[in-house]
Amino acid sequence: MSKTGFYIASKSYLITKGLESLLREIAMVEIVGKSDSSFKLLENILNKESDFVIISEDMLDPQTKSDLKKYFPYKNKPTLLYLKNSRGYEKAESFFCDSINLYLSKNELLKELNEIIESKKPAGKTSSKSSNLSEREKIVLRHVAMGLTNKEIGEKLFISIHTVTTHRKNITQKLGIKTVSGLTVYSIINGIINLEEVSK
Amino acid sequence: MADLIHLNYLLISVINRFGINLGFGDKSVQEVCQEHDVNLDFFLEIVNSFHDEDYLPEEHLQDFSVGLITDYLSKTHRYYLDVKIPELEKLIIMMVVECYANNKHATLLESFFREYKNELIAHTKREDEKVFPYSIATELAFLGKDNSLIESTAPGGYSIQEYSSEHDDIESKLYDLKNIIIKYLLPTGNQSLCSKVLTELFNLEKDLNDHSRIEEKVLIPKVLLMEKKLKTMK
Repeated sequence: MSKTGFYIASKSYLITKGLESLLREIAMVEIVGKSDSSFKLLENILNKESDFVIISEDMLDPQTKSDLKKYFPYKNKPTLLYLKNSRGYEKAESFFCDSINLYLSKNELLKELNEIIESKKPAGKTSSKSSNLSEREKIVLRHVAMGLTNKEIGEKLFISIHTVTTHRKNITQKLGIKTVSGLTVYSIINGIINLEEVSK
Repeated sequence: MADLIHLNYLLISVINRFGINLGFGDKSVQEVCQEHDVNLDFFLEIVNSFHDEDYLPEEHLQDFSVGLITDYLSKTHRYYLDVKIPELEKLIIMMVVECYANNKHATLLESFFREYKNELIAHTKREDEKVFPYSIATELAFLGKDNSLIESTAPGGYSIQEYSSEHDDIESKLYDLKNIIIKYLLPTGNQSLCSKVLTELFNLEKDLNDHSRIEEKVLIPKVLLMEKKLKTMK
């Protein structure tokens, strides 16, 4: 399963560092970028492949606001989160999907963030299933483990190289193994191929 | 200096590379560096960048000579090949026997690790024998001291750009090895040995990452800049 990417935008050093250490405590979350200036914020955000962007109040100068308004919330990804620094209930700008409060305790923050992450997950995909390869992927893996190139695999299975690459990407992502020899070891351990076949 | 090690014990291996041995009493970092003839500023930058990934010393490190940087990188290579890899190899052989006695395929880990080892040896060899001498030669030419060395270290022309584009990533196999142990093998015997091997693998990975970071963020840009200036001087 792929990680959930966060982008942090705040001028405050303390806030940035605090968010970083908090996010590191949540499983399957990574920080893909951060920014301490509102200059070209929109561009920077769109350049990084993030799922969520946390923006603190101090970043919202008029220019940035009008930039953000053009894209959000119409754009599907990333989701903008507002980090507000007051206990008040004033309404956040419309481009924010959700807000978190700076003055919450650690546990409250973790709970809120987890809920926000969960709510955005595509339904039906559970992480425990992820290491299960599809039948097609197993066949591709078998050929990879035998040492065939993508081109050869494509020819054998009557699929395009492009499709083979996609299968391989998915296999690597599901198994957490990148190299061919690593995949071979996995295949032998899990009985997808046997040792004799490889040494041929 | 003792405080430094207390702060981050992983630095023990780093100070070793500088030829500094334990038993330094209450001497300060400066004193110890002087005694061992180590460039203090350089030592501090390396230690800081190793300790804290967010610490970005690239600009400072640019100030040091290529000789100093490659010397450190070569020493790091020696540390991997002479110390870490043999250690890990022994541990993995032990692990296969003691932890996975029931799994006839576990011996594959040994051959997998050996493959990795050969990759690492080839990688470091190329750097030690080609890339580093070339970088030093470029610096000499750049300083106007000696133009002849470039040709002898890189016959037929070479650019650090080539190295940068083919700088193969030596961490993938390590990553795979970790995942195979973590996810796909069920140990039946000595569990603590497995943890030990994993801890070692994680430490080595961190060390390697730091090492590549210095190569990619410090050495390559520095040599690239000198190459460019040399070209315009011609």
